[in-house]
Amino acid sequence: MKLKTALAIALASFFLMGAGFSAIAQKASPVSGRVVDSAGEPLIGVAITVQGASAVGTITDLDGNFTISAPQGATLLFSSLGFQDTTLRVDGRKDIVVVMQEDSELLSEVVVVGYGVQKKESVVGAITQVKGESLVNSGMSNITNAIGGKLSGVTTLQTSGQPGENDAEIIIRGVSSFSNSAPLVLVDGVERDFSSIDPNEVSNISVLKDASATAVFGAKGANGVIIVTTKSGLEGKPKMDFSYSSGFSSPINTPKHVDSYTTMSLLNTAMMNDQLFSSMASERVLSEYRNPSSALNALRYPDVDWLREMTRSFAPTMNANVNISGGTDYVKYFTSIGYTYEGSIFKGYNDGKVDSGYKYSRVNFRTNLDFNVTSSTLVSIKLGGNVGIKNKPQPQDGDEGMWKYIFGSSSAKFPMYYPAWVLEQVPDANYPQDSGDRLISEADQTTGNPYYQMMKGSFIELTDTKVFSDLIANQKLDFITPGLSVQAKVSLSTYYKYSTLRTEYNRPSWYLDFTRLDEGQNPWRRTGDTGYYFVANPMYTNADNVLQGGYYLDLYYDASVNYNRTFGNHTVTGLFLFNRQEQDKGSDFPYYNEALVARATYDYAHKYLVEVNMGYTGSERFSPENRFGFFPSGAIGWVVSEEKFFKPIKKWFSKLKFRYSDGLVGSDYANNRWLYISEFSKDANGYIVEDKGANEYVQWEQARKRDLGIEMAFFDHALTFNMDLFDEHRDKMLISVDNNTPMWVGNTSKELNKGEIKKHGIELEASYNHTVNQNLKLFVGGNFSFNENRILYADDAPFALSHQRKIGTPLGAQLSGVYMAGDGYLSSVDDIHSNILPGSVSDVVIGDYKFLDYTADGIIDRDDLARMEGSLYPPIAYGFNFGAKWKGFDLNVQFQGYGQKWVIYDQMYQWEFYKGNYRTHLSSLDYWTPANRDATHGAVHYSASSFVNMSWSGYNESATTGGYNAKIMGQSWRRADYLRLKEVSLSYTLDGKAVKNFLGVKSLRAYITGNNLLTFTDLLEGDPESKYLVWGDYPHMRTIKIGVQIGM
Amino acid sequence: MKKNALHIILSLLVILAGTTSCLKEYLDRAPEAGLSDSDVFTKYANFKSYFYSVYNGANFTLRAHYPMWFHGNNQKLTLEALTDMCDMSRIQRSQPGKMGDGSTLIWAIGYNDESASRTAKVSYSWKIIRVCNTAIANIDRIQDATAQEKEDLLAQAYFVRAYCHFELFRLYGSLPYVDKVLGANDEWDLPRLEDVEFCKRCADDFQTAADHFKSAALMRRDPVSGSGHLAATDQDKPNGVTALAFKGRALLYAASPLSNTTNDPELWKEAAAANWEALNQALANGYILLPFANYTNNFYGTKYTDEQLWAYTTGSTTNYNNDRVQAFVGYPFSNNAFSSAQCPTQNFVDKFETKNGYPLNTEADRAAAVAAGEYNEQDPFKDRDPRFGAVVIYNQKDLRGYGAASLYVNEDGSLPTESLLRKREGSTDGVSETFYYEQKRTGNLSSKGEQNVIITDPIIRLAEVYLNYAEAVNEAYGPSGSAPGASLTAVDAVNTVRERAGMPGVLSQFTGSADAFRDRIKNERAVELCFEGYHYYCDIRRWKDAPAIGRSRLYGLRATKLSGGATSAYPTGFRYERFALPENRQIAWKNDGMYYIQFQTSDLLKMKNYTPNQTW
Repeated sequence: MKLKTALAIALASFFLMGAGFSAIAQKASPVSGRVVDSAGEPLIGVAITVQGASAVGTITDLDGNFTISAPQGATLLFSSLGFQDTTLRVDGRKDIVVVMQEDSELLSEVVVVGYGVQKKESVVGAITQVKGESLVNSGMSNITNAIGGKLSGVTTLQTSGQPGENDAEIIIRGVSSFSNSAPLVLVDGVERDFSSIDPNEVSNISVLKDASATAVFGAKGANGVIIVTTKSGLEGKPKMDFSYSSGFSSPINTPKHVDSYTTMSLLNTAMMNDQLFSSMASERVLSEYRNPSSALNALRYPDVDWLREMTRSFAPTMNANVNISGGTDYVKYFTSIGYTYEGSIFKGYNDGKVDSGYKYSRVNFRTNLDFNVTSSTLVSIKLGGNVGIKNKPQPQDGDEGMWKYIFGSSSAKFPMYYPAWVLEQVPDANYPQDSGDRLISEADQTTGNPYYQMMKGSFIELTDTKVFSDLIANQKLDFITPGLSVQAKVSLSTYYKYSTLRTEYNRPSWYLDFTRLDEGQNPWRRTGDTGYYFVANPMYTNADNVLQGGYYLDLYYDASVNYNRTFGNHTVTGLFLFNRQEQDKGSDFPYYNEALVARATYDYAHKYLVEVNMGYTGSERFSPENRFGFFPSGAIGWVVSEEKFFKPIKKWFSKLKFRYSDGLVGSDYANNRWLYISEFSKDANGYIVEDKGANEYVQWEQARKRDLGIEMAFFDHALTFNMDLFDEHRDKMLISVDNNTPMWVGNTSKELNKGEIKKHGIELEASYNHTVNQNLKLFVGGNFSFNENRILYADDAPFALSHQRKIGTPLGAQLSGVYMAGDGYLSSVDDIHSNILPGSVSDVVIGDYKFLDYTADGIIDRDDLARMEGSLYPPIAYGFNFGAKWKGFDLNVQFQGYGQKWVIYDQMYQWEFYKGNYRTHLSSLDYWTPANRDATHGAVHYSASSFVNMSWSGYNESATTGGYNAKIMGQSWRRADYLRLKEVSLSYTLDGKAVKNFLGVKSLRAYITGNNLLTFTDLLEGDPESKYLVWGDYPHMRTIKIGVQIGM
Repeated sequence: MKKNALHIILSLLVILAGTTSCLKEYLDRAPEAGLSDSDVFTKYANFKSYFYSVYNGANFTLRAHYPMWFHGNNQKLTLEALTDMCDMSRIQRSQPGKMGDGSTLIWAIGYNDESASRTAKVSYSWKIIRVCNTAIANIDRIQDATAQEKEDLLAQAYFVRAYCHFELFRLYGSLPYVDKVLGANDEWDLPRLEDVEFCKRCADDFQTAADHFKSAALMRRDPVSGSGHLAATDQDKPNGVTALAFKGRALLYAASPLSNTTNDPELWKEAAAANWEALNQALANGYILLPFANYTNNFYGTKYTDEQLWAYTTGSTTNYNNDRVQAFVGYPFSNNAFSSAQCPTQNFVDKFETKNGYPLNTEADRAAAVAAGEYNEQDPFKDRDPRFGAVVIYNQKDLRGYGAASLYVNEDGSLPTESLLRKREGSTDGVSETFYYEQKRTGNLSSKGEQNVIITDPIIRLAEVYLNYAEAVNEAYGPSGSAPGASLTAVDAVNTVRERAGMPGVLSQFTGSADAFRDRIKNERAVELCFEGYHYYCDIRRWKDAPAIGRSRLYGLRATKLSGGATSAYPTGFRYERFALPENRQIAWKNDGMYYIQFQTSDLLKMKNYTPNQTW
C-alpha cells in the first residue's frame, strides 16, 4: 500500500510540477475529497482542474482521494476516460464526494488509429469503428460476418456457409487492385488473421480508409486497414461475465427440387429439340416416374430430392464464453475463454471412428495483463489464440465436390442406395452371401452420387491453431519533458494447421443394371470388379498430425517515441516508430518488411486540426533501388461548430466539422516474388535458360487518395450525419503484360508496374437516437456507400478490339460476354433464317438464344464477344439498423444490402443436361416457347456438344474444342442485388439489487438472436451473396439462437 | 535522474539511427535456390550451357531454320512445295497456302512448337536473339575462360543473332533489328527497318562475327586435313567462313529487286565484294567442291564434307518412319499413311539441261534441243544433266530395293503390281501425281531401300557462294566482269559449279549480256540448290519472279506403258505426255502479300508501330 501511495503521489506530482507556482501565486485554500463511480468504487487517476485556470490540476490517488488548492467559489472539473465530465462548485466545502457517471458513449470518443489512439474530436482521417459489444450482440460467431452492414465503406461477401470455412471476403471502399484488394488486418497492432477471434474478446474494430489514416502503414496500407483491439482490464473489482447460447442453423436459398417426372418430361423436350426421337422416354416410363408400379420400379425410376435426403432441417450451433476482468493499481487483467460449435446439416456417416459430417468447433482464449511496474512504466502482456477443429467429408472432387453432387445430381437417374430388401428380391449370384444395404456406384455419372460420397467413409479432421502473443513496455518520460514516452513491442504470431484424422477408403459400391435383369442375367455390378478402386476392409487412419499448408510464423517488433502535450489551446502530438516484421509462411522464403513511421498532429482549441503522416516502408520483394517507398499524407480539419460565430445555432446544430486528407499509400503485394531477378534453370535438355525476363525496376503499387469528410450532429448529438467523398488514383500495379509483349522481346517478362485504375465514391452515415422517456429509447441508423472504378491501364493489346479491352471497364467486369439480340430468342422459323447465327440453321431450334452480331460484320464469332455491364464487386453497399430499449428489453435489427451486384450463374443452373446429366433447376423450366415469351431460359437441349448455344456459354472448358467460353448477358451473368435481414436480437436484462439478492448475480440477461432471417432478391436460385454460382456452394445459414448472459 | 534518462533517450535514438543505417541490409535477401545471374555468367561452363541452348535447347532451337520441313497435325510440307518446284503428295497443309490462303501456313511455319516438330521459327528466333544479346552484354563477366573461348562465344553470338534476323527476313520481310536485351523500361513497340538497312545490319553482324572468329583462330573448326578433319567437337557450329558466306548471302538479298527497289548498282557491288571475300576465305581454308561422285555426301551418307561451310547432321536415321523423313519420302516408300513426299513437277524437271548444256525450259528451248538432236520427249530422261539422277526418281530409274521404278500406268489405266503410284487403301492421297519423286535429301532411304542413312542439313555450302558471287557480279559488272581484285568472272563462277557436275560451260549464246546470263544463273541455282532448304522459294521472291510463276500452270509427265512395246515413236516402250496437274494441285498468286509469310494476329495486335505485311 505504501508503495502504491507513493507511486500515486509521484504520478500526481508530475501534473503539479508545472502548476505549482501559479497555484501558490493565487489566494487559494486546499480542498480535498474522494471520487467514486456509481457503484461507489473509488476512481483512480481522475484529472481535476480548476475551471478557468487550466494549469492547476491534480489527479485522484489509488483510493480515489484528492487534494487541490482552489480559490473560493471556483468550479472544479473532473474528467476521466469513460466517464462523463462532472463539474462542482467548491463553495467552501472541504471534504467532498463526487460521483461520476459512466459514459459508454464516451468510450467511442477515442478512436484507434495506426500505432495509437486519437480523440474522436481531433480525428481528421476517414475512420469508422464498431464496438465489440455490437459484434457479440449480433449472434454471429464469425467476426468477419458480424461486421457486415455495420461499417460504411466496408463490403463483406460470404461465399460459403460451410462450418469453419464461412469467412467473408472483406473489401474496403471497393475493389481497387488487379493483384489484391484485401485490406491489412491488424490485431493489437500486428498483422494477423482475425477471422477466428471470439467477438467477446474484442474491444473495438476500427477501419481506416483514407490516406491520412493509412499512410503510416506505407506499402501495406493501400487497401485500407482494419484494426482489431482486444479488451483490457479496467481497474476495479473482478467482474465475471458468463454467456451461453445455443440454437439451430438451417440452409437458405438452396435450389428447389424438380421432381423426376418433370425432369424426364423436360428431357424429352430436349431430345425432341435435338431430333433424338429414339432416345426419348416413353409414356409408360414417364408414368413410372410419377407412380412406380412396384417397389423395385421406384428404384429404377427414382425421384430423389437429394438435398432433403442428405440433410437435416437444422444443424446445431452453440457459443459459450466466460471472461473475467478487473484490476488493481498494479495490474489490470482481462481473461476470456470461449467455445463455438457449428454443426453439420448433413446426416452424414458416423460409426464412432469415421465421421463424415461437416462441423467446426473452436476454443478461443485470451489473457491481457497490464502491469504498472513503476508509476511511469507500463508493461503489457497479451496472449491470445484459438484452436479450431474442422471436420469434413472427402468427396472425390475435393471440397467443392459435395455441392457439385447435390446441386448437379439428377432426381431421376439413380436412387440414393439399394435397401437391404433389394438383395432379397434380386439376389447377387457373384456375392450370394451378401446382405444389407448397398451403396450405389456413381459410375457413368458426371457428378457422382452424393449419398455414396458421404457414406463411403472418407473424411478429414483438421486442427488449426493460432497463437498471438505480445509483450509491450511503455516508459513515460515526463521528467524529461511532459508528454514524452517511449515504447517497445515484440509480437509473435504462429499459425499451424494439421490434419489430425483422416480416412481415404471407399466402401464398395454397386450398380444394379435393370436391363440385364430384364434379360435374366445377374444385374449386379460391383465397382471394384470393373477396375474401380476400393478397399474391401476399410482402415481407420490416424493422419498423425500432418502439417498442412498455411503454416506461418510472424515475428514483429517495434520501438517508438511518443509525444502528447497540451499547452493551453495548443495540443501537439508526435510519433516516431520503427518496426520490423519477418513472416515465415510454409516453405516460402521468409517475407521481410520494415518501416519508419512518423506522425505529427496539431490541434488548436479543437477547432483547427492539422495532421501529417509518413510511412517509409521497405520490403524485400523489390529491387534494391526500389525497396523503400515513401508515403506521405496530410490532413486538415476545421470544426466550424467550435467557432464563436456558430454559437447561436449550436443549441440545435451541435457539430459541424470538415476534414480533408490527401496522400499516398502503397501495396507491396505481388503474386510472384523476386521479380527483379532473372531466374535461370535447366531445360529438359540440360541447357541453362532464363525463365522470365526480370522487372529490374519492380516496386510497390501506389495509390493517391483524397477524402473530404463532413461530420454533422444536431439536437445535442441525437441526430448525426457523416459524409465522405473520396477518390483514388492507383498506379504501378503489378500486372502481367503478355498481351502487350511483342514477339521480339524474346521472352515473357515478369509482372511490370503498369496497371492503373481510378476510383471514386461516397459514403453516408446517419443515426438518430430518441429518448422518449427514461424507460423508452429508440434509435435508427444507416450507412450507404457507393464507389466505382475504371481501369486506366491494363494489358490490352494495342490493337485489341475496343469492345474487348479492359481499359475503361471496371475491375471485376466480364469482358467476354455475348449479348442477345432483340427480345433474346429465335421466335420463329423466319427468325432463324433472317438472323445471323453462330452456326448453321440446322444447329438451332425456335426458342434458342438470339445472339447479337456486335461487330455487325455478318458473322458471329469471337470478335463479337464484348464486355458486359456490371462487376462481380457490387458498387453499392448499404446497411441500416434500428432498435429500441424499453425497461429491460433491448431490440436491435440490422439489414445489409448490395446494389448492382452480379454473379456468374452457370452450368448447373443454365445447362440442365450438361454432359448428359439429367439435373434440372427451376430456371430450366422457364424455357422459351411461343406460349411462354417472357421466358428466362432458352430452348432446352440434350447433346450439348453439337449446340451452338452451349459453345457460347462456357460449356466447352477447353478452347481447343472450339468453345468461346463466354457469358451470356442476363443468363450466365446475372444481376444479384439483395437486401438481407442480417440480424435481429432481442434481450431482456435484469439487474439491480433485487437480482443480486435473489440470484446472487449482478445482472442476468436473456436473449434471442436471429441471423439471415430474410433475403430479398430477384435471383431465382442460389444465394445472391455468392460470386460464382457455377456448381453451387455450401448454402448460407439462417441461424436462431437463444442465450443467457450472467454478470457477476 | 533526469540526466540518466537523457542518456537513455540518446542511446535509444542512436539505436534507432543505427537500425536505420542497416535498414537496407535487413531486406537484402534473395533466395539461394536456383541459378543466379552471376552463377550463369561468370562461369564459362554455365555461360556456354546458357548460350548453347540456342542450338540444342529444349525450349527453342536454331534448327527451326535449318533446311526445312514443316509439320502440322500430320500434314507435312516444305517451302519448295509452295512453288512450282514440286507438289506434296498429301496436299492438306501446303496446297491452301500454295493457292493463296496464307492463314493456313502461319502456325506451321512460324509457331508450331510441338515437341515432335519444333519449327516455330518466329518465337524461337526472338528467344534466341535475346540469348545472343544477353551473351554479348555479359561476355566480359566470364572469369574462367581463355581469350579464345570468349572470342568464340562472342563470334557465335553475333553470328546467331544475325542468322536469326536474316532467316526471319527471308520469310517475313524486314523487322526491327533487336541488338540489345529488351528490358522492362525499354521501348517495345518498334518500327520495321527498310529492307536494305536491315540486311546491312545482318551483314555487319556477320562481319563482326567473322572478325571474332578470326581472333579465335576459328575460320574453320576442324583441321584442313589429318586427324580431326571434319570431326571437330563443335563441327555443327558456325565458323569464320560461314559468317563471311552469310554476309555475302545477306548482301545479295539486299541487292535483289524485292529489296533494292531503286536498283542501286552499289548494292550489287557490295554483294559481289562480300561473296568474293567469302569464296576466297573458303578456298584458303580448304573448302572445295566435292567431286561429283561424292556429290550426295553433302546431303546424306556422310556426316560432314569439305563443301559444307556450315551443316548440321541429324545423325543416322534408323527408321524411315519419323516426321522429318515423312516430309520427303512418300507413302509408297515408307508405308506410313502420314508420309508426304515432294514430287517434282515437269516445270522443274525441265530446268535440267541436256548433258551438252541445251536448256529445255520453254517449248522453244525444247524445240531447239530436239532440232539439235539433244532431246527426245519420248525418251526424256536420257542424256540429261547428271544432277537429274541425284535429285529425281523418274519412271524406270534404277532404285535400290525396287528395281526399275514403276512410275507409270498401263494402257488400260491400271497400275502395275509394284507400282509406286498405288494409293494407300481407302485413301485418296499420298502418292505422286506428277509421276516423279524426289530423293536428293534422303537417297534410297525407304522401307525397301536403305533403312539406315545419315542425313545432314547443308545450311550453306561452297557451291552457293560461287553462285551468289556470279549473280552479284553479273548484275554489277556483267557476265564477263569480276569483283575488284577477283580472278573469277561471273561466267567462270557458274561454270565452276557446272563443271563439277560434269556439265559443259554455259552455252555462249547465253553469256553475252547480263540479261541473257541472268536466266541461266537462276536456272543453275534452281538445279544446284534444289530441295536443300528454301533457296528457290526465296529466290523467286527476291527476284520478283514469283507472281509470274504463281500464274503459270503446273505439269506432270504421264508415263503409259505401251502394250506393244518399244516402237520408233516410243523408243522406251512408254508414252510420255505432259499434263496439267489437277486444279486442286495448281498454284496461284493472290496478291503481293504472298512475298512474305504472315505473323499471327495476336502478335500483330501488339505491334502498333510495325506495319504488317499484306494478308493473303
